[in-house]
Amino acid sequence: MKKPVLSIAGLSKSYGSLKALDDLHLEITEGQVFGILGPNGSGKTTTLGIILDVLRPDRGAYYWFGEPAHSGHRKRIGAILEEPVFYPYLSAVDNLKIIAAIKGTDNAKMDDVLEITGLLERKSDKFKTYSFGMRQRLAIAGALLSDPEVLILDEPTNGLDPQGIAEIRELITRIAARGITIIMASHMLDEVQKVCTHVAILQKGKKIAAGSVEEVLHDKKTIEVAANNLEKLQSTLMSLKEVLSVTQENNKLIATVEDTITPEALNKLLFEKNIVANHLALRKKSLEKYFLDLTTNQS
Amino acid sequence: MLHLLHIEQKKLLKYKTFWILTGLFFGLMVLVFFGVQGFINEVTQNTNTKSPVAIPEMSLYQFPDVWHNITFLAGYFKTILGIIFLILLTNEYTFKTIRLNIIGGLSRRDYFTGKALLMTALALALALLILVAGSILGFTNTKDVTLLMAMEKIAFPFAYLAETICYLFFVFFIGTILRKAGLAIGLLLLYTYIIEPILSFKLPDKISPYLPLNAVGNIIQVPNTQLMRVFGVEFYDGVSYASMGAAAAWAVLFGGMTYYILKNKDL
Repeated sequence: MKKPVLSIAGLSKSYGSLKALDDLHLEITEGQVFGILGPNGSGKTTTLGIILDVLRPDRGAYYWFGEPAHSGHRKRIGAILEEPVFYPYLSAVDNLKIIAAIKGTDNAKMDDVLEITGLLERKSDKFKTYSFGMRQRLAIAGALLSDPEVLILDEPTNGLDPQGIAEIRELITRIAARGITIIMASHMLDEVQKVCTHVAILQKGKKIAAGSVEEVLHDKKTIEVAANNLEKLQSTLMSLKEVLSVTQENNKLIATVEDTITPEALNKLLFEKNIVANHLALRKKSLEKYFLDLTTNQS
Repeated sequence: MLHLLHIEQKKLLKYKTFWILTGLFFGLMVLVFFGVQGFINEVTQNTNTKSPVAIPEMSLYQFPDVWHNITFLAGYFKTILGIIFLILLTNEYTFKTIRLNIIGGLSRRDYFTGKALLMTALALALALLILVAGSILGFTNTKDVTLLMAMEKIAFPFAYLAETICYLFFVFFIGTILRKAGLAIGLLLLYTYIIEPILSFKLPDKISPYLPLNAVGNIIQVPNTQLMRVFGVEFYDGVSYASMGAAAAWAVLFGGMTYYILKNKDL
């Protein structure tokens, strides 16, 4: 059993009549790269804001490392929330020194994190002179400063040019390879697919799906099947080489099939095995398509 | 605790605006302390040429009254310190750096404590300036000066420290509810120079001395100079501990409300 990193139990938050977050439950365990995926306004930043104690939930609780959350936990976490925030009149180094003082760590790793993020040469320049990309990278340097067990990133590639995006994604993958748990909010499906191991999809503050990236965002074809004898149907489906996997959902079975198989073809295969299906439907949309529709409708 | 003050110090050490404003403020205070005697002399001489009664020459700088005189004067200038503190408070919201503090691992209580310590440090620095200025003025202007004379009204600089701290809790509250520098400074000035004076005027005399800024201001009352005696007015000659009690009660109330807001609101 992997150690729990973050448990979210029924968090809700409203801004006036707008429900930003509605009874959210999540479990994140050690070593995961967990993506929180959703269109703008789906509650991603609200979730991160709450678990970092910057926002207060109306209801619900969250637990860090299996304990009720307290400020000491945040010293073990490196985090970026929305845009990078630093004291504009101070240099990169002086800003990082403040973070080190808050976290109670020494300044030994300062040059390392500036090196990793490519800011070493500009370390004595004031934050206000930094470009957007540099600010984002300094935020990552700040998050890495205390050798965190957990890294929280909010839209880490937002507003960066293609080269910057590639650099940041590569950096995240390298950090994840060191066994650090990463929690990342993103509105970009391909980003989550490329970087994350697990994902939760949010829409209007509600979780609509969660699981491993393969489970949730697979692009395989699925067909719903039902018959009077579900058990026999299940064993028969599993015996077919064209069927890749079968899961049960209420009183239906969901068969993941090879791309060439249509509902008609599956029906024929079942009929040959003496099973009459009383329900047969191609799933109209995979979650991926559903999500793409969601985001394109929004923008 | 000191660790929290250390963090606040790191934020300010290279913040030019803060040092320029504080330097100007302290310079102004020194100028006022050392220049007020000349100003008063000028006024009395001018008046004496026209006045039927002779107004006695007076020294503001003699021990032990110098403590009362300069702390009373300094009371008028604490608004400037309030504005400096407001800028530091609202910066954390303008730059959103309050989030940097909390996300980094300070609890909301730590944040409150850090700012309260910073506030106390500012008040201490000002009290120290008064102690130094008062000593220089007293020792150079008192005939046959003894240490005992210097110590006689030494309670005043300490009372001034209490006055400033109580006052800054009020400022802390304003900065925490309004968050924007312009709004907060605007409200502070509006309340100080218009709202509370009107309230004092409207409310019965028994109540008005206990309004927040009145209570704070009454800790050190108008000095009982010869000038006042000429007009037949007798003022209370020591530190008003009743006012100090009222001011402390306000400070606890404003501090408590500030803490409650910081603890429970989104940042």
